[in-house]
Amino acid sequence: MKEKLRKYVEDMVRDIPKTRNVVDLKEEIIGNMEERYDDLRAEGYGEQDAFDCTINAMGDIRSLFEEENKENGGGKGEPVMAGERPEKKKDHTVKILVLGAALGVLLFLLGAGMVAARVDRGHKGGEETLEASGRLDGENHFEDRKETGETGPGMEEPGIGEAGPGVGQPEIGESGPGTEKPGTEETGSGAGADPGDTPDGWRWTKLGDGGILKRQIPMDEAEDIQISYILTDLNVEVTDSEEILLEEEYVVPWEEIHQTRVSSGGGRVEIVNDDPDGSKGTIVLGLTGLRFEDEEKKRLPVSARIQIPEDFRGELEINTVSGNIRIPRFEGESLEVATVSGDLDGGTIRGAVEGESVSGDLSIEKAAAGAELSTVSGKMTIGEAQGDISMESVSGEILVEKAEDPRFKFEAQWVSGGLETDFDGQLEWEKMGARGIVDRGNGRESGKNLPRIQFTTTSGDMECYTGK
Amino acid sequence: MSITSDILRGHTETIILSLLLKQDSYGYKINKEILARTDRRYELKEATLYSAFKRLEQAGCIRTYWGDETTGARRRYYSITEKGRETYASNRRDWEEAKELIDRLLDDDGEGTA
Repeated sequence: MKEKLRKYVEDMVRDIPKTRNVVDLKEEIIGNMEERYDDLRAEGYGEQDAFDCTINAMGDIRSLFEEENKENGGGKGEPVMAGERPEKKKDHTVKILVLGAALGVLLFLLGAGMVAARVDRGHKGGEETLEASGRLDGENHFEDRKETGETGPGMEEPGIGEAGPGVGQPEIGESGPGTEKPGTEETGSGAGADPGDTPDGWRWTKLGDGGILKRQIPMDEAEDIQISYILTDLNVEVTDSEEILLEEEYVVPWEEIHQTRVSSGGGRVEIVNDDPDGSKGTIVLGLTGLRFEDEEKKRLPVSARIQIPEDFRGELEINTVSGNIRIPRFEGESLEVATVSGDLDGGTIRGAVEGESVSGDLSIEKAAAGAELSTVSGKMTIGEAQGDISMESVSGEILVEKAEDPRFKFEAQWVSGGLETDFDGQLEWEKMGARGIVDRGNGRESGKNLPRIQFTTTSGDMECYTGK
Repeated sequence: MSITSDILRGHTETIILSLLLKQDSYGYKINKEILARTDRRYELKEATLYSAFKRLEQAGCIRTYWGDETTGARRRYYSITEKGRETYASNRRDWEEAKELIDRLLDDDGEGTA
């Protein structure tokens, strides 16, 4: 009977190339199965029952091998659709459910860029014009797609219309754009955007199985903005409009989307899409990220482009769980970012930055007014640093490529891990730390009130350079 | 039980690390210990366990080696690294905090609406 167990596993992995990892995993699994089988037999189970129980206790081991194989470059047959860009992508629910137990491995790769769920979508879209599955990033071609979608001749499903439910209004029945009925809805712009009953002009543009939802959000008197999403990738940009422009991409039809709630008060606009109705809240935090084991998550936007008025000078707070945040330029007073596993990709940030993540990487090209960053395992990078900088990690790397201040106080502390600088000679080194006043050679300021660069880590590697 | 096991599954890595704190172990034995500690109320599918091992190994939290059994099945052992200990400590703190907050939130809710 034990031979049968071995054979069961061998057969299962017959078509998978036998790399070292695959063979090790196979032997490990067989070893554990045999022991379980022996225990069951000792407990009095018959041969067949013990065999069945053993198989059942394993769960989906096939996908473990598939994952292993994929990592070895064996999964090249993966369909990659036209227009899919090889950039950071989120896994999506459907795929996750299918992958079951192997999902942890996938999530491990999340940061390295996964292409998944939405692959199918484009194929179903039928019309070529709808196939583009671009992200709402920077200079994308959303406008082009939208035009095509609206006016393209021979469209099977025009599916565009004004959806004008009031802010925070969950029911979408009457205001839904009727995506199922070709040619029924008139899409005249502004028709549904009458400030009288629908202060927020919403616009749904069908795209593949899902669509893009565009909204305008007035700043009113608000000075600050708060943005909260779960798995949505966010692109935060500026616009010359006086309103916030929100574009969200969904992979489900209009009727099924989980709408973003917008509210304002207390000098603050809040844009929140973080809790699908009926969700059992089974977002679980593991060591390396989150797992969404809930079909409901499919209703969340996969990406969002949020354009804030260029004269915005207040505080911007952004939270995601696994969504990546990209913000090429920020002129406001302060930027606060928190993620669990999402990355921050920041450009030139004029205001003070506060960033926090568990496993996401935090990167800022230029922090002009100081930064306070912390992660557990994510890597932190600041290209050009000015002002007070504090970076703290458990095991994540810390890097300042160029400390711009003419003179600054430097301080690093670690338990293990190392420090590399191009001003080693200006520091006093201790066993688990280094400190000193660093002069880039053109300093004029006195020793007091110097900006300070401070690194703290348990086991991460640290680097700081002045470029001098 | 399904929500419970979802929550438990979310802590698979931390549970494994905690079991490895005391001594090195291998897949089946770890699962047996989980079963025993939960009075047979919770057992992981082994596939879940293996993918957790893999994540932990890739994160540098555990190391693996083959046992030198001369008879019976070969065992692949896992041992916790220094980083694994740190991660465990940090996850543990996070859990304590989450637990406390959830308790507070649920208690308040109960009083307010019941």
